[in-house]
Amino acid sequence: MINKNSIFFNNINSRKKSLLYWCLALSALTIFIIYMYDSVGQEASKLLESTESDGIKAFIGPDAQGGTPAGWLGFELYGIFLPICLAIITIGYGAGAIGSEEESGTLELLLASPISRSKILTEKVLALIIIATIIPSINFVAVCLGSLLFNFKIAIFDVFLCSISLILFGIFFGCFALMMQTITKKRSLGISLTAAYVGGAYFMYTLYSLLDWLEPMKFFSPFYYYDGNKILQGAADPFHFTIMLVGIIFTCSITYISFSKRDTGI
Amino acid sequence: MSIKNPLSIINFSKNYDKFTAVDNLTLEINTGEIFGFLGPNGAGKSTTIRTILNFIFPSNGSINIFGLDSVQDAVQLKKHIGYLAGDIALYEEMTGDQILNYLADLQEDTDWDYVKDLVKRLDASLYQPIKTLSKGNKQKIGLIQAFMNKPNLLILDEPTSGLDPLMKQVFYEMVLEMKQAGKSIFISSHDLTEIQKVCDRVGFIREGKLIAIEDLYDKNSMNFKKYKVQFEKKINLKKFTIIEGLKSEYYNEDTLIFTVTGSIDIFIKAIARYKIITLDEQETSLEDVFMQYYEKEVQ
Repeated sequence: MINKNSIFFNNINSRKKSLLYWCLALSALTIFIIYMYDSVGQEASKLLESTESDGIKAFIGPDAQGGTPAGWLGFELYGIFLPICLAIITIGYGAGAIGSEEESGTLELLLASPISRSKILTEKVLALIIIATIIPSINFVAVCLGSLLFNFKIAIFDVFLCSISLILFGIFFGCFALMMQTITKKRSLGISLTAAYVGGAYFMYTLYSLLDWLEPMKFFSPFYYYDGNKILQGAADPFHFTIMLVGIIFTCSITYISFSKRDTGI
Repeated sequence: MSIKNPLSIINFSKNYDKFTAVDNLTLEINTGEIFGFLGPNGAGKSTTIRTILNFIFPSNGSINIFGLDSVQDAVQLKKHIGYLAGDIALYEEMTGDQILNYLADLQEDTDWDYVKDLVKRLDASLYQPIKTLSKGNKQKIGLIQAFMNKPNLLILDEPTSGLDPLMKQVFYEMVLEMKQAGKSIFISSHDLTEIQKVCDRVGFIREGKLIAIEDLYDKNSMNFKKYKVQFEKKINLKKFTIIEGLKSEYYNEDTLIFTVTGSIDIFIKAIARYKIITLDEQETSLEDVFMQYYEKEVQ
């Protein structure tokens, strides 16, 4: 049974409204995009296929394809748009999980209680996992609903795998922001450093197909491991899931070590 | 539990790069004692408290609470501590009731009848969001959360900040009840009058250094008073400077401020040689106390 006075529940509860708005907006958008496939999706897909420019293709996503419902969904939603939306949400939460409480001073209320720093952190990370899971899950339901309503033929299992990958992607950036905040002790710095990493990672991912010297850099980009376009086209790579999991475990470990050994509230 | 000292601070120092916030502090408080920790802003009071609670780590030395180390046994020892932060921060969107429930669940058990009693005595507003409360009303919620588990050691940083005189009196009663129940209380403040009202002993800290510890039941400790005397005409200051235990300075042309550290009899006899218009006792400031200690050191 969930204790409604736990740190975990309190963190979820304080964000329930914004999460609800995000879910409603993204679900509505998802259903609308599915609805639009018959009318403009085919044309847009043809345009994508016919473009000769490698640069345009790279910025849309190296593996973006048109002409199919999976390609359309990847192109419009799962390729770039949803990961960026989710990253914004989880980075905001991750950097603020400890950072907001540290800046406002409420962290002292928790630290003065007979609970360990690692327990505080664990409950915050669990809340992050839930927050990162809710939006892709609701969006998955919206895709299922849209495909039923508008005869949108897509492999639901691939969308499911893509949602799992998206969740891991969101958790990773949330944990990365949490890690940066605990190291730098500043929430704003945690957000900006992580946002810079998101931007850099996106360019590494999109440009590696154009610039040879960027090729090895793609391995440092979470976008490369997430790769919604490929998964929707039935080419999910378990290794990529594993790498994202390792990244989450690594950032969490650094966060635990850093937070348990540092002065707070300075 | 009472066998071990509620709080022992041993050679504690805290450095931030080259700045020393607290320098080699050693003090102990006893079971059932109210200990005042007095110093101006930036003296190192909050740094000491924050280290006791393991929010920050000591650079040197150690702190023990009931024999438990503040770093190694941080979780265990907090079962015995109630804490009120100076300028307390509470969750702005929550109500007082929600905060108390939230914090109570992080503790082992809470006597809700006692909480209700505290709420009633402090006349606290429990059902309004914290962001709508005045500083004084927020302070009441802070006090309730500090007292609510009847901790064996209460650590209170500027506890009466924002409280009106009536509520300050309620607070003093609460503290004395805790003392009678054998609990120990550590009060950090920059208000000398407040400390003199409730404390058994007081430690003076300035620029990170503990200057003195005084027993307030000892009539010889902190034995000095300030008086403002208006004479009929201007008096030469030199007439008083040779008298031991008496320090004087001009307030204006015909008025002098006397600091009496010795016998009041000598002071009365010294001023009685001149015609006096008014005689007022002045409030002793923290600065005056520190000046006394500096002068003692110089001597």
